[in-house]
Amino acid sequence: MNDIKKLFLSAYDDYAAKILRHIYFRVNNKSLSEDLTSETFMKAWNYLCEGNEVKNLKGFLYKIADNLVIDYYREKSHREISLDDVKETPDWSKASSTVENFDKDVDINLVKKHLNEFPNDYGQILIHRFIDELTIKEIKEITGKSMANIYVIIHRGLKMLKEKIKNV
Amino acid sequence: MFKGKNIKSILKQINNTPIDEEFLSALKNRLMDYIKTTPSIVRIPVEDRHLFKRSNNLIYQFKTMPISLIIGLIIALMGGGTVAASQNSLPGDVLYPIKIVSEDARVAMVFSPEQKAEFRLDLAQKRIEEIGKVLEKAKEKGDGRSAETLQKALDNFDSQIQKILDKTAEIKEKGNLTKAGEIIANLEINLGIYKKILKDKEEKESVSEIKNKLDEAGSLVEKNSEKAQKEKEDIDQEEEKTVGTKESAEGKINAAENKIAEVEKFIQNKEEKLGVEAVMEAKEELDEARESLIAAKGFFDKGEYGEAFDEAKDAMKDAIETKVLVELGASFDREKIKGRDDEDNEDKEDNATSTLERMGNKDKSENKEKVDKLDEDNND
Repeated sequence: MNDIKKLFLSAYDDYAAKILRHIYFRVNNKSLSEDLTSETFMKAWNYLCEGNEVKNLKGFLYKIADNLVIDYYREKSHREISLDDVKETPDWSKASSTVENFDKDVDINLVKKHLNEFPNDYGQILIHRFIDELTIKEIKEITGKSMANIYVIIHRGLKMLKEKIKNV
Repeated sequence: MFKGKNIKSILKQINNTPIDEEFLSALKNRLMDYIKTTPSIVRIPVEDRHLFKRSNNLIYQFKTMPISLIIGLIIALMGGGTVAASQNSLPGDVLYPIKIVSEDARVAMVFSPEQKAEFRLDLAQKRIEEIGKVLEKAKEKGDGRSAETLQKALDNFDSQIQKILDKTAEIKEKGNLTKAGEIIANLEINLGIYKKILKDKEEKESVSEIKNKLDEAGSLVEKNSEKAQKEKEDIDQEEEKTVGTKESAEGKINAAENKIAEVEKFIQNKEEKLGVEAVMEAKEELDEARESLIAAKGFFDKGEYGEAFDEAKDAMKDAIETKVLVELGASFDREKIKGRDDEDNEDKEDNATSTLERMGNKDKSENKEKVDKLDEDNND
């Protein structure tokens, strides 16, 4: 039992920040992302406690986080993301001391905003690939999609993102 | 504006977004506490159980430990399924303290006061259901300890209500008036229904000791209703400063729309448990909320933001009430708790009148036309 606890807490140290960041970019709300992160780890722990076997804890944690985000959007299907949400906690904006930084911040905010407007799979997979830095194989395990499908989504997603931002 | 040289590199820069380390470390501490109090299905092998038999020394050690740790230890020692088994326990049962600790542990795992308050609302509802079950059990057994058990159940209920009021004040302080208003409206509706449940139970009760307790409980709920009402007035006053603005009306409409969608999903999920008839009835009740929402949108499009705000607020209230009725209707006499035959005219008016009637005309069909007209205007 102690081994499970140690393993779980070490997984927390390794992945909590990444999971929190992942959820934050999906829901665009600081306190909500904190709640969902906490729920992710709690659900994972409960699952382990029930004696279930988990082969890849990292992928499993992302999978729970993804499901919680999907549940959240399903419940709030009528919710629109306002500009206020986008502006909510961009910590990096504090670093905008130079013009160059400011431009970079604007780019980041735009990318962030459009990621949230994408069809769910696209935002999810782009965030997994470029922000969580997961391999295609890991994304395949989490999403259950084929590798070819994931490649196509990444390719199209990047293209869509580029188009959207160009038009700003 | 957009440099747009390389999307991938921008995405990777996002990866360096600073994370709230304080939150992560607080969450880790909470998680460690939670892990301590969560049982695993790993059971203590039978041959080792003698190690855990009572001894004076062990009892002495227990006495010096904080209650929560003792309960945590009991949970750990009792092993698999204890928490799950405790979920059906009632005040006075051995497993009941475990149920309370496990609930508190779950609340502790939620960080935002908004979610904590919502969680506590569910718990208050559970406490009321428990009161109903304690009374049923008392009737079956007819023992003298029932009044004492009932008192415990009532204390637990009151404790949840106080915590909800505290959290609502906290949410209000944070400036989230919409959410604070939603929670307090929810609490107020719940308290109104609880009052009816207690009154109904009191009228049916024959044991005078229990009857008195239910009467005391009714007064306590009344007192809490007053507190909630006062808090609601404060929130309303704050909100009124913004009423009339497009933003406040839009915010209220969105909130009501989300709530209606949430309640609809909730009703669908309960279909199997409640049966088709009860679900149909709940859906009809939800239609009242929809009528208010349609009216709110109509007013909004006409630029009458104050009216739109009020209608959206009513829609929210109707949706919340529908949900509470579905939740408690399974355990209590639905017609009684709806209070349509109740003497309390204010509640009757608030809880049972449709938006159509609230729009000020006596003839319902006339009102319907008004809503339809607004709807048509919207479509134009």
